[in-house]
Amino acid sequence: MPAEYKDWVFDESEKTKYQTWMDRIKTGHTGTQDVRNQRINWTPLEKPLSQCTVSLFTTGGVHLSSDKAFDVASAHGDWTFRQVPANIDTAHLAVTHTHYNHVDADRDVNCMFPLDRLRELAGQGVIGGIAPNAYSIMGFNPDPARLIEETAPELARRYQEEGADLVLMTCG
Amino acid sequence: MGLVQNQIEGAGVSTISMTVQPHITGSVGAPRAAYIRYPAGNQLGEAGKPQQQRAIVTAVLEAASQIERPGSIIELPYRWRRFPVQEEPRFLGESMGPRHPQVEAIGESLDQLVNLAKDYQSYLEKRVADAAAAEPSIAGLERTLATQAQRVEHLVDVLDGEALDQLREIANAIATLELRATGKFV
Repeated sequence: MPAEYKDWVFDESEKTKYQTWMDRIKTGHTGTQDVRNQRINWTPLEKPLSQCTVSLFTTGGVHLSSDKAFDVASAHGDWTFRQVPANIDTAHLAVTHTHYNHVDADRDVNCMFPLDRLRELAGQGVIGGIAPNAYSIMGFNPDPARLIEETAPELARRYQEEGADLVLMTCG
Repeated sequence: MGLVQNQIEGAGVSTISMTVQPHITGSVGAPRAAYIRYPAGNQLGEAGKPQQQRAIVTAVLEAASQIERPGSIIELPYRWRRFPVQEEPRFLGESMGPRHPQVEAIGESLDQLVNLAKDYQSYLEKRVADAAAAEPSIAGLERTLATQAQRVEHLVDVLDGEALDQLREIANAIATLELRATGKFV
């Protein structure tokens, strides 16, 4: 059954909510920068989902258990990314993040990073397939300069090179 | 999120992000986003609920193919009703994190209020229809009843949206603090 969508309205009270949040973050974390996109890029999705190669991204701090964990001790956050092979057994994934409740994701990463679900949808033909790798960052980056200058362009390049038509992006 | 997303979109790859804080997504700017009134860390639903997770993933991917205006944020129709998540048999014995029975009771009461308000809305809508069909008609009755029915509908939205959101965010913020304090998160 298809879900019913409604447009979410970005009104003055929501703008105030953001400003209050940003002011609180700036008080709590020195060096915080309020960086916003100056223009919104747009790549129309021109194929039906059943022909799309889908990839996955999260800011939720997911990584291979065997990989280096994200740095959650630094007051400046961690701008680096981790690669997650799309065919990995999700039991081999771990979550390193201290800014949200990931008790559920620790037990079943799919409630935040739905790799098993994407594989099932590919198997059912709902989507065309899955790109070879998914990527993850740990979203706490009060000053996103290196995230913007180093991580984001590299990820954009990889998603494009790996043939992704659509990237599903989840947060922690 | 939006900062990374916008660069991926700029490289010629379509994107859709999920958000639980649309005021941040809207301010930073994202090509396409789907807002779900679920806790951070549970955007696709509950642990061990593959059907639920699959339904949400599918809804978000379908939204990606339907959104036509850059910067759009659509809202998904799901509501979070577990405070905290109840145990699944396959996870029995695992830590559930802190439990707050008072919060669960408020959640159940909110659900009851929503249902009562919906019943009242249906009742008023029936009265509107009756007033429209009544002979002789009473001047202004149909319109006045319809206005009140709309106000009850708004009451349902407040209870099922803002009130439930507040409860979920409070419960989740406290749980996160308690889990962090006990060293649960590394």
